[in-house]
Amino acid sequence: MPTIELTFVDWLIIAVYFGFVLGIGIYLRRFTKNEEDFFLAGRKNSSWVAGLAFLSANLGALELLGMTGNTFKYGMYVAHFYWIGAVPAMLFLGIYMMPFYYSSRIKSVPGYLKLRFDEKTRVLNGIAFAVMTLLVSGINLYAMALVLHTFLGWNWDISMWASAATVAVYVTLSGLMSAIFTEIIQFFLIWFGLFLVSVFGIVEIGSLEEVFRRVPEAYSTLWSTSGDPSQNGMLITWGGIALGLGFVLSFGYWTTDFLVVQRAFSAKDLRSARMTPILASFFKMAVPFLVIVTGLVALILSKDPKSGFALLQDGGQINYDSALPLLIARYYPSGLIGLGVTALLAGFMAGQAGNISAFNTVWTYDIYRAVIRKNASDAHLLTMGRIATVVGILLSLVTAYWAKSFPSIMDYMQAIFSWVNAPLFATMLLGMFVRWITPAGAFWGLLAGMVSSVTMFLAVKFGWINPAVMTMSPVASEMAVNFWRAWWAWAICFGSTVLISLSTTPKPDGELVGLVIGLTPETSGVPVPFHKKPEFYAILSLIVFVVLNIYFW
Amino acid sequence: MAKRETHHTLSPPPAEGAVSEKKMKPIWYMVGLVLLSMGTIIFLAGIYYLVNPPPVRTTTAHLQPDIWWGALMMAVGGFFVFTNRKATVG
Repeated sequence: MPTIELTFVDWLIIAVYFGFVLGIGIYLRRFTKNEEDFFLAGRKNSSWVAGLAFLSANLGALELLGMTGNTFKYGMYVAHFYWIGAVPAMLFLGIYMMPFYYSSRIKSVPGYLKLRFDEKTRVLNGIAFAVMTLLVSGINLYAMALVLHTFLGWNWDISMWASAATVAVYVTLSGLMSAIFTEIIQFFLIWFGLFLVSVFGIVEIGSLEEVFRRVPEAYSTLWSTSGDPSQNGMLITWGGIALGLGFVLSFGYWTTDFLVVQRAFSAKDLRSARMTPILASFFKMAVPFLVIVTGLVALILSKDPKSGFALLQDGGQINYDSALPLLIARYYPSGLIGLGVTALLAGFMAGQAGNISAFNTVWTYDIYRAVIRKNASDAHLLTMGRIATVVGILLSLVTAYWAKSFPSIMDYMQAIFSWVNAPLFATMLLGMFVRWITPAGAFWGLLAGMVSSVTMFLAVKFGWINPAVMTMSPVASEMAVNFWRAWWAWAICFGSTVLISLSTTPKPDGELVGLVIGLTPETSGVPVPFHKKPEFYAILSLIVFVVLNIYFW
Repeated sequence: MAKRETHHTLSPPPAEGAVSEKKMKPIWYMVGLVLLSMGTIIFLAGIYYLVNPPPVRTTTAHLQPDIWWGALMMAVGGFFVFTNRKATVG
């Protein structure tokens, strides 16, 4: 039974959103004249545009619903995903890695692997990324239909096909440009659409201090209970958080996942590209106000019989994802409900567009041109990008129907990132900072990391090994196992790459100029004062990050 | 490494007069239009429900959030539209 009733006003708000995103796609079509416009939005975005798109590409509705539900389940520890699990990696990308990415004028992350190592490493990563992106895109589509069906009573097929068709139209028309435009609109809709849920939650409970006072310590602190995993909601130690999430998963995602890094590539110059993740880090640190506060409010209300608030149950299991929609229904009148639903819809569709625009770029440059048609013209690549968009959407629909018939695939989504991104981060780190790492070392190390990550996942899933072997702790949540698997996959890739490189031939230094630290000349330009440099904003971001961690220790 | 660059513009400026018919409105203008449109609808709906209260009231209905939140969205949207009404990019 649907929990949210929509009125004419709510439908009107939703119709306005669909009208705008389709209209923007049609409007931007006239400015999409070549492949660089289509795949890199013409490389003319300011750091603000690229930065908000960088953040929004990750700020999907699945994330908002899931993280609010996770807060209900795990408490304040979920904030680690937004702070230690994001900020250091974003700053590292902006300060140290972006100069290599941007200055080499590559069009994708696998493109860097081709320049630094060789074609086979690029194709290996390109194929892994394309498969991962389509899986995630399809699972997102399925999740959207599930949410719309559960909370609004909408038809499954119509929800999936209407959203997929809308995304297909505007991404096919103008590629990354329209994806970025809709991501920025999504950013504003999410803040305007969901901010009041937290505010009204605080108003109903009494104050923010009262919110934290009414949840147990295991749910209201960040680090103070991390010495003993049995004392915190996530059943994890500080080591698992710092190594698995804070280092491997975070750096693996934020510095190598082309879905987010592509937004920085669209910046108009190197300074803007470096500022992209740094600006995004400030907004990332603010997102817990939406998801953590909402999750804690839902937790408090559900424990108070007088509130009449309870999460939905599916077959006796608590549906944690229902926390946010139920609070929207509790607090919002007509009109605002339409805005809240539109914010979630925008999150789903922008996430879908982000995945598809990253897929069409990697397919076109790193698989099609690298393997199938090496001498393709720019016009041909532009056409191929549009075809890849439509085919990618259709494959996402296939994945979505697969997910519908096999719902537990949803559980694998977090694991998918640790299969591809965690080992890739080791390859990138060594590639950028160690000049004697060889193409053979990179290829076989990356392959070993990916295979070991999948093997560890299957070994735990089917009970071949005890998860305690990986987590080094007698108790561990599924999330803790994810963190530790990512760490081991990274370590295996790192170790294999180093060992193989010691016995194989590196590329000559002359071929690594601009790609490896120590061989990259300093670029000159118009001098800017220190307070306008990326380093200044990175220091500010780091200060805010440290203060937040200490305050909520 | 940290002192790698200062301010480096890779894209050359467009030739003056050559792109007059291909100027694109900035994203902030579009954001303004979206917020203005939705804010107006929410604000007007809030006024309507103030005069004709719905049968089912939410826990915060007495705060009239649709009226002031709709008005805030209109103000922010209007600001974006006004400040970017003549702006173009590319």
